Amino acid sequence: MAVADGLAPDDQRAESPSTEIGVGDRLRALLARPISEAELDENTAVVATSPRRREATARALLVVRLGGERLGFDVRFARRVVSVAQPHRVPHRDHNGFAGIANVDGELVLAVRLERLFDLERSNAETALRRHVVLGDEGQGWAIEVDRVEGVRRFEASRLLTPPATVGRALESMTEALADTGDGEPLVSVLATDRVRRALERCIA
Amino acid sequence: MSGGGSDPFGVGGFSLFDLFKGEAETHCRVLNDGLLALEAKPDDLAAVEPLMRAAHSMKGAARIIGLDVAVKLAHAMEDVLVAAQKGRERLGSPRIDQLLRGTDLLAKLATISEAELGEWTASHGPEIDALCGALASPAPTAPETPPPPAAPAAPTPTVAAPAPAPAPPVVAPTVEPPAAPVAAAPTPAPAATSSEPKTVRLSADAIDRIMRLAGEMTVESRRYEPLRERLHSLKERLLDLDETLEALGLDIGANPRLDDAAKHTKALCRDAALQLLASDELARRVEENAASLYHATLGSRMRPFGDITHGYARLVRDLAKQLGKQVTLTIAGTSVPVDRDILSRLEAPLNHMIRNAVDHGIEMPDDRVAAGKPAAGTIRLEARHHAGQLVVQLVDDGKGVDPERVRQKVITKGLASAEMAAKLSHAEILEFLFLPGFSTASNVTEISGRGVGLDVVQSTAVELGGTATIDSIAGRGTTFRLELPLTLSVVRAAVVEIAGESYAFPLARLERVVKMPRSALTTVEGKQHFMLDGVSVGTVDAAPLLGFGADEVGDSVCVMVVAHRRGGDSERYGLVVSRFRGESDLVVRRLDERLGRVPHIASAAVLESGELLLVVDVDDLVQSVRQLLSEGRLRGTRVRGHAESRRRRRVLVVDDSITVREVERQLLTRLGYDVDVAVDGADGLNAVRQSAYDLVVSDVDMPRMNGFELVAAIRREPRFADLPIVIVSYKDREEDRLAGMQAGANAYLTKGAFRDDTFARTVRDLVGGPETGA
Repeated sequence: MAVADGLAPDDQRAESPSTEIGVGDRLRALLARPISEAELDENTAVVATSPRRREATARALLVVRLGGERLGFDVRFARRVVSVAQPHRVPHRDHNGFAGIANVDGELVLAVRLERLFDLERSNAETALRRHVVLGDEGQGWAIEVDRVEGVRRFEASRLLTPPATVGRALESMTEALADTGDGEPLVSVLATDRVRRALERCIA
Repeated sequence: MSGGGSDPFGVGGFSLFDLFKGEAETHCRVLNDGLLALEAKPDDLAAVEPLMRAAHSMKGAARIIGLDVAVKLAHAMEDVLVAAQKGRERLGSPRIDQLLRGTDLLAKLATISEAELGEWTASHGPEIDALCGALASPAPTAPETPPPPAAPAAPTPTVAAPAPAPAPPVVAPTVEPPAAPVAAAPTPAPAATSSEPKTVRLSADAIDRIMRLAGEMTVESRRYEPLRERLHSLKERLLDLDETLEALGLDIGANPRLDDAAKHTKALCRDAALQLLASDELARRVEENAASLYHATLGSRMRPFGDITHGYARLVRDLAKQLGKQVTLTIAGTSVPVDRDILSRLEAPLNHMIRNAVDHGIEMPDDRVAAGKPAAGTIRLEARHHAGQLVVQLVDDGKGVDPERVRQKVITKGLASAEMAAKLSHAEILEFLFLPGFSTASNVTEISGRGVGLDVVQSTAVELGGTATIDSIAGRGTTFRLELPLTLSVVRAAVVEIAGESYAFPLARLERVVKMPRSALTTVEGKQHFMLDGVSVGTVDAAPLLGFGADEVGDSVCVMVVAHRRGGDSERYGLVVSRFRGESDLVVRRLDERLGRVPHIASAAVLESGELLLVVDVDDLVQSVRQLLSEGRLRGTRVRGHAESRRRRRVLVVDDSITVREVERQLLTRLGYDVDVAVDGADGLNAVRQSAYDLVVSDVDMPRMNGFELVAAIRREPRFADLPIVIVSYKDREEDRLAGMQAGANAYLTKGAFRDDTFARTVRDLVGGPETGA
């Protein structure tokens, strides 16, 4: 189960529900629609949880798309979403997915090709939606380029799935859980902040 | 303090003790400088008053935080100063000594942490009591028996008293003159503190942040230009519309709705023009303000030169007294603004130069008189701005340097043949004094050491992007001159393009930029060069040097000509870049420290357009160019066959323990290998990438990147697939060994392997003997 959150990254905040004629009719139709058994169960579970517990166990994740995968970063780790800033390569350090230094609104951050670390194939389509996500604390930041930012979503911790215990691609080893947004889209790989941080650090060494 | 709830521990995040420390520092400075001035002019009663006030304020500050020992001491000092001011006591040298000792103790308090306070007061209690007692009793008339420098004074490093007690100098007259034997007074009167500009303490980080934001403001303010152009084109289109409508209006005549539209359009045109004007005005102001803000922020990094000189008068006095010399120090230019970073880097070299001048420069009073000079020597320190540079000069009227002795030393040290040494000019000879380990002082003293330090003076100057020169006339004195940039934050640089990206070469380190057709670069015996002023200058393409593929080949190239100077000798080298973009004042930014030291790169900078570029470390680059060119020469000349068939094998030792590193280095060096060391995995990986090794020896447990990760990282790069790697570790469990071998090591040894010849044997088995082709 997922609840879309009002907290969207800078560039996605603008859209507000349209207020046309017939809102009342549509609302009535919405409320009167038949509810599926699964949905009923899910909502019952939410209501049955005390609000305090819900707050404590919900995880807020910034969900992004990269090379056909949906990745979820802890919002405390993913600090900003900005337009792509072309990194400057660093001599003798042009390797391992380290892309160089990028100027993100005056802050110099280390840019990393996450797809390289995770062994993902990136498509060349839709460069307009590409963004840089800045991870980590100020002065210790990392910029990663993603294909698209979906937004911040909250997931009930109890509803996160354990990833299958296969040692496959690099991405799996960074994933601590899988989350279902319930909209038929692929599962979100919830990334383990400390593991990602270590992988980032390794790639500049 | 009101003791209110919101800020119970102090004011604005500072504890009361911190505030006391800040205050103590200020008062102690006044006391220190004032007492020294007073020693030179003991009858200047007006000079006593600021000291009295300082002691009094110290007492008050100490009382607020309940620091009884300091209250007591400051009180005793104040009493003496009051007595002096009222004419009841004349402050002689011994008394001033006592007061200075008191000042030192109080200054020391300003350097310790709150946690150490209890222990400090306990251990220094008796000393303070004794000093208070001495201050309360009548002034000693004769010099006291030499009190060994009681508590190490904050600004004065302790000087171990050698066997001959320093107090009665051999050459001193039997009765020490009551007037000060040593006069050391900084030129700015200490009483002038009130006229000094107010200062606040601000963390360096905060300034850096403000600076960054101010820089970002200037970048942002320039984004208006394209917006303005779009607005202009909008206005143009409105005008077109207006013209069209006007034409229509004439043709069709009175169609009221069309007429309305035409009027409306006209009004819109006028409005657009007005708004455009207003926004132009606003943009201009924003841009101007952003620029002023930026410059003001830069200016805030400047500190007066006097910030570091306040300890020098005392330093000279104490040293002179100890050596039995008479020295007057004058300081000029204390208000000259100097970049904070440069100032802090200058402190140690200046300190050394001054010690050197007192110790080796100024002669004993008798010798001076015999040479027809006044008994008291003079040292003059001055700072000034000259031609966009900061010039710091230290002049003494001492015995100077005998160039013939230096010449002899150059020969005996094997630095030049007798024949060559004879040809060296006066200036060239003096340059040798800056070489590490080169000293002409026949007696090594505790005070200025054995000549180590003069090389530090020069290397500091070079690191700061400046120069250090020395001039001396035997018997007349010596002059040291440092020429430094005014600030490290802004560097004027040539912006060039290498491998499609921008780099900056600081102009100070650039001799010339030559644009020419690529065909003007000729290759002889694998070595690329071109003719400049009739001299062949060896060149290297910058892109591959920086680890990138060869640059796109254009018809014309730019050669950045840099000079490498050493001992008066200068060689020129050229770096080939693809394009010269122009000159720019760059505000330099430190490279991310997570990157460690990046070879050939000194810092980063952001252009006004917001574009990021890297600032080249010219010295480091020149080193690589020299290496490359000399290797090229080896290949091309007669020694070739020999050099290629017999070369020493190179081993890289990676270990974070200096002991293990040294054991391995010595062992391998003894076996005849060439050894480099790296302090951890990350450092090791860098080294491996940068030069060719025949073997890597690595520890496992290391910070940043451990041995297994290092081995794996090396193996990931195809060119190192066959590079032999030995892991040496304390971990002797089978699974550790397995992990090491799995990562890709060729051998896994435990550190016990040093006890027998296991280590040596393994190395030989893996790479063969110390020489190739042997």
